[in-house]
Amino acid sequence: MMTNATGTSQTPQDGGTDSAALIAHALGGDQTAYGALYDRYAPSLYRLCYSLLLNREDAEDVTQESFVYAFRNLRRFDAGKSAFKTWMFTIAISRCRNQYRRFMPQLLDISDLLGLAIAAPRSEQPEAAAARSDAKATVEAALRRLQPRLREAVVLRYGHGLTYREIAEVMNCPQKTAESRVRLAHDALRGLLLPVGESLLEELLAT
Amino acid sequence: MSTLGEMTADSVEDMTTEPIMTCRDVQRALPAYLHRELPPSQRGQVARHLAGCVRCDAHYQAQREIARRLEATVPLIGRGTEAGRFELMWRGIAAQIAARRRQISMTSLMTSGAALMVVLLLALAWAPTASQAWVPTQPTAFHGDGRSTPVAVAYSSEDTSSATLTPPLQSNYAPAVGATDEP
Ligand SMILES: [Zn+2]
Repeated sequence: MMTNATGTSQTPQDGGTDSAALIAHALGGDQTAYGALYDRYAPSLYRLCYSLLLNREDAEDVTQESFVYAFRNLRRFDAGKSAFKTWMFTIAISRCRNQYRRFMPQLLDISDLLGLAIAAPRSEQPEAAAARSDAKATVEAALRRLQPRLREAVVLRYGHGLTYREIAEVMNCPQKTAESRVRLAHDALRGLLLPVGESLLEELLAT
Repeated sequence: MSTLGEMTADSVEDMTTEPIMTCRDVQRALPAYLHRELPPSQRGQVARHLAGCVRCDAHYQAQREIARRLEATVPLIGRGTEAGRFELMWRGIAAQIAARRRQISMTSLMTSGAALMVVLLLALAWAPTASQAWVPTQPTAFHGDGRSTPVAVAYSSEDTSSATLTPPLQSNYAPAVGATDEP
């Protein structure tokens, strides 16, 4: 339904035709095509699940479930409607949502613990690597504190470079909602990631 | 992957057709503006507005700063997973798919087998009445009449079939059959 008519000429970086061929082969009974599809999409799908669930075991479980579901329902995939990647993302997100609906309280508790851990003095790693992993850990802790919907929007936008149209598709919401979720996430994360009182901006934005 | 490049106030667009954007509109449009997903007409309007509105520009600078930060760090989250983990996940997936496939072929085999049996038994039941010796599973001959009517024989054959074919004929029994097949 949603063709690329939204003014952007951005297309999903999906390896389009290759994926289509793999899907066709898989549907035709070629077992190796399933493996090839997995190899192609597992890293980003896992990364998506991990960024949303922030827990390795849960992310692995959801990644597996998502592939099993996708492979069993491969016939239902409609290439005219969405890219295979966004279809997989849609499947994974709904499973992540079930997961954090179940485990939300724990997620919040852990986030508080981690918040404290991150405030602790740095280790003696080489500086650059430390700064890098520091930044990563800080963002991870900040994502943990974000409302799930805002986290989803941020992860799809920045973790996977999806357009707002694609984010809307995966999150099953209007495009304007996707945009405002990213904006709200920016606002929430500014407080968590940027040093307080770093700039004159704060004063300007406070009112 | 869109980039957060410098936003140059391009002036190719027309300002006549678009309705005037308020500060609120501009701030709402900032995410799309940041990622260059705004239609050109609005894009120009936002750029001009930002050039003349300190408040909105402050919002823009703040959003851009955090967006840069996120673009550099969010892709790192969940990365660095060893190949071994992916291999393990794949084995799990492959096993589940294979189990399901076996289950499906098993049940279809059972159902088609059952159907075949029913057809066979019915065929036997409707077979020439003379071939009584040919029906060993038939419990007892009917009232010594010797002339069993088709209806009566069909009934008794149904009896036998349900005795021998209970599992596949109960549709909800099938998963249990498949379950014995799981690794
Ligand atoms: Zn303004």
